[in-house]
Amino acid sequence: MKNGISTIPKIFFTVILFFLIAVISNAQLPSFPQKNKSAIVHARIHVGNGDIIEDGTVVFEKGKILYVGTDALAHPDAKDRLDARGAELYPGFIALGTGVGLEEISQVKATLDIRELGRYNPNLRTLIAYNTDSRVIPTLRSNGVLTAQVAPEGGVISGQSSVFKMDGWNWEDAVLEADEAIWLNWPQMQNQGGWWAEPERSSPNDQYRAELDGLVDYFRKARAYHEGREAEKLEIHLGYEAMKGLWTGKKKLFVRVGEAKAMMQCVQVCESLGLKPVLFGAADAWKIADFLKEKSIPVVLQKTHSLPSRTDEDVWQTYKTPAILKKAGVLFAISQSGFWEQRNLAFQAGHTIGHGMSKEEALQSITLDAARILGLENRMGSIEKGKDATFFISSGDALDMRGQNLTKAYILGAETDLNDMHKQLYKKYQTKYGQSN
Amino acid sequence: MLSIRISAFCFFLLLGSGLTMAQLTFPYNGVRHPDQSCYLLTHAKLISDPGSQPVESDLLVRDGRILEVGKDLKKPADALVIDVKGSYIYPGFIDLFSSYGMPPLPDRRAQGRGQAERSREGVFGWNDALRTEQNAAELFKVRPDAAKALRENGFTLVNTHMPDGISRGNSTLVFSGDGKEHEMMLRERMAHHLSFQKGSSAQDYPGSLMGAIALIRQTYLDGRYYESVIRPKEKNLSLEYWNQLQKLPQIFSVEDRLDLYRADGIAREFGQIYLMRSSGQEYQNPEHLKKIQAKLIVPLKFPNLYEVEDPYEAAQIDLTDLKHWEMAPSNPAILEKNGIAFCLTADGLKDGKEFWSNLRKAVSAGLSKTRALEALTTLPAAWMGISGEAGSLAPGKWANFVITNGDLFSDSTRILETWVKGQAYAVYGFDPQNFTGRYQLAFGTDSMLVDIRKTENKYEAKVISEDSTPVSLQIKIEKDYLSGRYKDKEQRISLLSAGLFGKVWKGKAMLSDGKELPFTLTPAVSESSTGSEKKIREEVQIKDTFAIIYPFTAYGRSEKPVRKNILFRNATVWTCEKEGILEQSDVWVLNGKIEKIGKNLKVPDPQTQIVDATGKHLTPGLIDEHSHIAISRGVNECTEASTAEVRIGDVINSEDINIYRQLAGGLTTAQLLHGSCNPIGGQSAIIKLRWGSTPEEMKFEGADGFIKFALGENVKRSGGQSNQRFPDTRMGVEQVYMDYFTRARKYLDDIKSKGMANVRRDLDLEAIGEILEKKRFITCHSYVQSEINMLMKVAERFNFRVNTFTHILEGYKVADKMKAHGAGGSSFSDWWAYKFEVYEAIPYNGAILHRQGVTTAFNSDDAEMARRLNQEAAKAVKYGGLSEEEALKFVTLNPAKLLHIDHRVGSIKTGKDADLVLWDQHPLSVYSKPDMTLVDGIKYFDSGEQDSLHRMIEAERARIIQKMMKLKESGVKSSPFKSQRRRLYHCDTVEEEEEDHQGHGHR
Repeated sequence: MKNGISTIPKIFFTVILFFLIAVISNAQLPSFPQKNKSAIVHARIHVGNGDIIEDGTVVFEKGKILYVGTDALAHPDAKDRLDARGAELYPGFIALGTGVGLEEISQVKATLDIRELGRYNPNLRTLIAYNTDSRVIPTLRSNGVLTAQVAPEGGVISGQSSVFKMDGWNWEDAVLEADEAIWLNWPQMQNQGGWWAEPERSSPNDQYRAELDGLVDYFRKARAYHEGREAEKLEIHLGYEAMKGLWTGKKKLFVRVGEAKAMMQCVQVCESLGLKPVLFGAADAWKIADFLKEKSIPVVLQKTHSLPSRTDEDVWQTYKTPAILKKAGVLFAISQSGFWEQRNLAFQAGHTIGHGMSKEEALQSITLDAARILGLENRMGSIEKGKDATFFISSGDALDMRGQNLTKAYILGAETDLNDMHKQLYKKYQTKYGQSN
Repeated sequence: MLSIRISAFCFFLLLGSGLTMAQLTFPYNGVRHPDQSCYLLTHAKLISDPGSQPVESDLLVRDGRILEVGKDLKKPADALVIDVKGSYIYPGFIDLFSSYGMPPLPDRRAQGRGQAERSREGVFGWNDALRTEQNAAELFKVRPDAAKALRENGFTLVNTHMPDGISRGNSTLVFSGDGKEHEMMLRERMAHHLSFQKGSSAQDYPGSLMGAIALIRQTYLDGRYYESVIRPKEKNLSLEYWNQLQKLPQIFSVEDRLDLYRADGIAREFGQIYLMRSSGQEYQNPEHLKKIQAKLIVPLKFPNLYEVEDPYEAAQIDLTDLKHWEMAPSNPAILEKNGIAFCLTADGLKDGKEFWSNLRKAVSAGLSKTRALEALTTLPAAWMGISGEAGSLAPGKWANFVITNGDLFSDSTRILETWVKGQAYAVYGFDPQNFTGRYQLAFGTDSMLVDIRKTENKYEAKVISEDSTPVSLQIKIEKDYLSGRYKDKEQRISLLSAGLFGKVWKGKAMLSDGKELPFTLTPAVSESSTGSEKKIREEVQIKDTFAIIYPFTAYGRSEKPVRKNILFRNATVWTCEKEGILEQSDVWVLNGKIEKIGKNLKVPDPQTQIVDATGKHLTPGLIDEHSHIAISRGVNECTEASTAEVRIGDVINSEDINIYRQLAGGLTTAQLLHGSCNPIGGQSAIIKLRWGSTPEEMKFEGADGFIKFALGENVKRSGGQSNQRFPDTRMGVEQVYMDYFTRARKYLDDIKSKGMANVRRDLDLEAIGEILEKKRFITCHSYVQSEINMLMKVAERFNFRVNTFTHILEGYKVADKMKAHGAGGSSFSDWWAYKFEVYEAIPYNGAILHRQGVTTAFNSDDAEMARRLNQEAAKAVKYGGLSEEEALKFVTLNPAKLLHIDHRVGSIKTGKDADLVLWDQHPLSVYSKPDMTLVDGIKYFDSGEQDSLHRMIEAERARIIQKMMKLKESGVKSSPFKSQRRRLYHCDTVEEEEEDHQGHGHR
């Protein structure tokens, strides 16, 4: 054996070695900008706005959609033409208010960059902490999440979120909309004690009023600063500077708030400040749907896979809430809390379908309506001409775990790698056990 | 005449107090005035015991005892005669649950927490929560204010104890008089008091309710063992006292209704009879209390009216609390109706005045007066074995009685005097002339109407005036002398003094200018009962409207669901057996079992309910191998490396709403596991989700015993900054197992060689020994491959196998080894990244394990996820491409196998339990939801009924809130809602948090 390693085993060994390196290194390549004009033909297109185009065609170039329709021969100059017969084409799901890229392992503090010290930190930016190399990101892509609004969580004013595509070499490269919203944690009206297995009865937070006053004071001063800084030559205040966009309409205000009364109070306070908030979490939104409609306040529901807030509520309340809001005409999106958990975003929306939502409405709640809430509906959220070519092909119903199976995904027109660490480890151990798939 | 006699008598009493009774051993500073007083009370309406009608009678008292009872008694020459004509005399009341005269509780916080060792000095046992040496007689101090408060309610004897600890030592039975301690004591050692609260103990153990129960259990065993050993190796005063306490009546204090069942379970296990100081929630399941023949000491604590004006705040009040507010006053009446033995206690009431107003509410709600009186007199006396001395009025008994001005239970009746051990103590005082009523005040030329009322011991006057300018009158009446102040329209003040002439007060007013003016107060018309009394009646006129629901929470039902025979027609039947998925098939459920599966089954009998299941799917009920729902007060007993002695089965919370919510997701069986805080956790309980049943009824009959083990970050306490408890590394974890299994081996060998009787029964080692004997099975929380492998090797060294690795997120890395060992895996479908040890967790885990031949399940470990385990199962199809049939088995047959209950549940097979779910569509689809869920053939969930139950909840809430608002309008005081239940728990129990789920959808 000393010198006698034959050619065939050598090649075999090399192949195996190559394979192992590929597996172990986790070196997934970010995509390069779309080169060629491309077309996907014969797909069942879920537009994202409620429509379905049977046997549809999408043509896209330089990251933008040029054509959507039923003409399989449109743009014959498109070099790459993919026949997607029998498959479904969806706009990329949009994860709102997530910690992806800021959190890697929940209980390892060194891997967490989502909660800063201090109460009022509007100037913090998730933008520059966003880790494009997080191993979580490819696992989200694998399940159709192609865009995310990455938001901070700490303090009272947590900082600013940015919207990223789920692919890229670095944050500068991955960002789609920088510093687009300020995040505020509304004071808790009720204190909730205990832990999940033994939640305690809530009790009124007697600091609520004081916390609210402090918060309103900060906003008022920020506005006064905005109005008077030039004229009065005020010293630069980084916090207030960061909030400027709120007063000019360039930034949105996302407020984490859940209780009905607190939500109404939040809307009123914001109104007095000349702001229109996006209510995030909004567990009780179903109770005040008419109010939200009347004030045209958008809502991001956090997880339909939650327990009802109160013992006496409908056991399926959280599944039913979206249909109630839909019926009332409230603009809302469905989100999924956490970071790695975002891979289940589609199922949060899917579960509402047995509870009053139609399939396309549920899809809209994680695509076009999410984009509307971000104010980016002209750019993303649906498969329509002129928008970003960010979409994926699934062999089955992507809102149902029974059907969801991505075969291709495109982010700004570029095909993105659908491999991830989990698939790699799966392959590795299939190899160990000789399991074939 | 009488008033003079009484006042003279009172004066005498004042003089005499402190000098009375035979002071046999105490030196006395001064000249002795031996008290040999003898009293003859005449013309009383005497109620000698609860069942008797008032009889006109005299009562002769000497030396603190009743000498004679009867009509026209002969007056002994030295007797002081007190004519109490028109008054009622009742036997003095006895309160069996009190901490009167006890010192304040030590503050546990002051001692610091986190102590593994005891902090007491002396030759006591190992745990500071066992205060068996605590002798209330040695702590008792007469406290005049508190004694007065007792007497004001008519209590003459109280059984008082130090409410501190799990064993609280003995109580002492004392009189409520103002004498010296040694005079006021009737029984030094009256009863042994127990509870589930560790009180001021700063020691870690027990850190949970189940730990407290385990400690009590072990102490009974240790006590018996200690007694049986002729030459014990150690001296243990705690156990010696414990053994002495066993000879006394046993009083167990519980915090809620389920605790009562738990205490009852301990009583049965150790042949005890507990008198239970209950919670006031007993009406919620009287049938069960009747069945267990509970003996209760019932508090009269009724919730105040809640503030419900703000609908969003009112929403924070659960139906349970709304209904409790409404039904609490009916508790004693419902107990009486069900023939349950109970005494009453004033314990738990903040304000002593509440006792009588609440007792009258209870009587208005249907409690009979006889039974109420019995609960305060003869029954407590009988339970304490002092019927010969107290509880009724008969010669030879202590002269403890209550004199009232009317029937005890009528609203206007007042306690005039309470006699304790032959001494009279004025309460309301005799008031031969009642001055309440309407008077005409003539004041110079002014004349006006005045209402005089009596509140407690004071008279109040109110001028009735149509004039808007306030005119006020303040008066004070002492016997036949009236003094007061009159403020006229100009706010000038006149001082008044007057004497009583017949029924008219006549006197003089000193005016603001110094002049005098005569005035008179002449009775006008009499006044009816006061407003506050009317309110009481309004509040309790509620009998007809409410209903008990089982369980006593939202989605409880007033009728327990009944078993029906059902034929499912034309369903897609997922058998989870080799028959696979049967299209358009029928399943016949008979007597709770699956009788037959087939096509076009004949309708067996007309009573059978036919369910058209066309287009629908029938699956076995889902099974959650890893759950923490339905557990009361502590999922973790975190305090020691092994707590194998604690049992989740002791603390099942049958009222947890998550049981119903999970039925609504098709779940029928769950293993309730101890947390993952220590290498050897507690014993688990397997339950069927029989919503509305008691904890015992929920247990899966005859199931094998399981125990929770845990590895890795949680047991080495990685979540906290500093850990002081061994182990701190995976190396240490292995050695904990080596140590415990070695010791358990020796324990078993000792029993074999010496005989059980000669070995201290150790419940910790016993449970671990059961693993070695293959009678108890391990479910081990585990993540990374190294530790999984380690535990299998440890098990193999001790010749047993690990039954189930739960979580087992790196199981895919050692699936071959698991298969070889024979372990099963119960995993999350797709969780990862929530801690370092799950960074290589992959959703393909289940598929790999299954393909390697490991019995694989998906579990929830999460109250929310357990509502949709079918969707989790579907992920085994998405990740790894299992067939849908195999995937469904991940949440049905496979967990049944892991729990050794697959002979009963987990598949649709003739002869198995009819635990079934009818889904409206494909059961693995995210769109699917249960139409109905059956356990043992009983429909515990029905989607149609769910809506009507929810409407009922809303209607019931609205009804009670309406009632509350009306009462508030009528002037009844309200206060913001505060939940009592949890708070009670907080005071005394250490709560441990399970780090496992931090940052994981934590709520």
